[in-house]
Amino acid sequence: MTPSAAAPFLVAVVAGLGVLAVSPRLRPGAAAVLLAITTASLALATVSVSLLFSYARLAPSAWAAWCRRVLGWDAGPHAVLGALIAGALVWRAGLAWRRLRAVRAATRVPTHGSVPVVVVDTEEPIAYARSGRHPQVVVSRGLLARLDARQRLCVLAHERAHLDGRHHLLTVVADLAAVLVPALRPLARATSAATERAADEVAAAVVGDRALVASTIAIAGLARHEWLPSVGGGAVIDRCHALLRPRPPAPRGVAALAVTGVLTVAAGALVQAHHLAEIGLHALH
Amino acid sequence: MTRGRGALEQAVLRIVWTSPAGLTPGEVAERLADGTAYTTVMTVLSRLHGKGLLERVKEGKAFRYRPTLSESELAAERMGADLRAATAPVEVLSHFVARLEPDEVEALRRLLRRSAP
Repeated sequence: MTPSAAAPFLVAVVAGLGVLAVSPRLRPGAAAVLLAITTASLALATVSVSLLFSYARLAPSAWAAWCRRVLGWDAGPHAVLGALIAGALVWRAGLAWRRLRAVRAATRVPTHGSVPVVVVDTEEPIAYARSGRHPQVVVSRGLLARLDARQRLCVLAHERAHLDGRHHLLTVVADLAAVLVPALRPLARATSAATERAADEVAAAVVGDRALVASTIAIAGLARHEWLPSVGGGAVIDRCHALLRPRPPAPRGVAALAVTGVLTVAAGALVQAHHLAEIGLHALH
Repeated sequence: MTRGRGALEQAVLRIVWTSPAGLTPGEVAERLADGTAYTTVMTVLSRLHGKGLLERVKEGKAFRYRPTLSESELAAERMGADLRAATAPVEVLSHFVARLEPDEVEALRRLLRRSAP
């Protein structure tokens, strides 16, 4: 494989990093969509370039020689590398397939219409939206007890925004891509963070008070921490700070730049996949 | 004693939820205390693991199973919905707040003090 065979992949990676870099300056809802497409495209590009590389190392012309080497003669480092990459791909694909089967039920049916709110009788402060055939917003008694009426409205508006915006589809796509290609985890996290920001903005618009949403997040975050102190997670303080600033005007130039970046990533991924398909067809003949 | 597959899964889940440190199939069978065969318990545990409700670590020849979701996260199911729907993996449950970083705790407290009237 010549270095130029990987050019579309490299272009896609550079454009993807660009999208990740400008995404905080976009409207959160748009950022979530663009980041999810970027993550999925980069997964396609990475898988394509890896298969091309493995194929080049294990090509049919070299196949017989490779088999001989594996059977006891000197195993060339290139062939071993190709086999390792192919093995890694099969392993990640297996994991992604299992994850896909697990999430299918939750994403199969589009969510619309009224969503029931279920109050769970537990002290544990918790609130979440569940997508799927039976979408629900679940809130615990423990969390409701810590909030006043307007703060409760913030929580419900935020969770409903996830369901109305079909955010679970975006996070599932990005998550699957990151299972396939673990290096894409930062992009998957950014996608999920953007959906949280988008839901916060919707909640702020519903209650008409950005600071109220920020303090609700702070109360819920601290309550959660007191209940179950555990480290890690998604920049809760960043969400609060973003709400305490006035809503930034969407900069047209940045949006255009981001869309161009995403189109570049997608084009790079498709060209790379096309290279792979061409070689595959060639090999069949 | 016979009961449906779902009921046995529920019973096993409840037992595992009571011990965050995890249980072996033998310990679960012991706590079920209804004569359910060890191999049946093993099957149920591995099915719950397959659904993403339990995680497991190898311990000697057996696995030790731990809950992945807290009981309250699945509590909605105890109110009548079917268990199958409860097996949604964590990433399709969008939580209002995620876990906090250590330095976030003080920052959030400051933020609340400032916003207090």
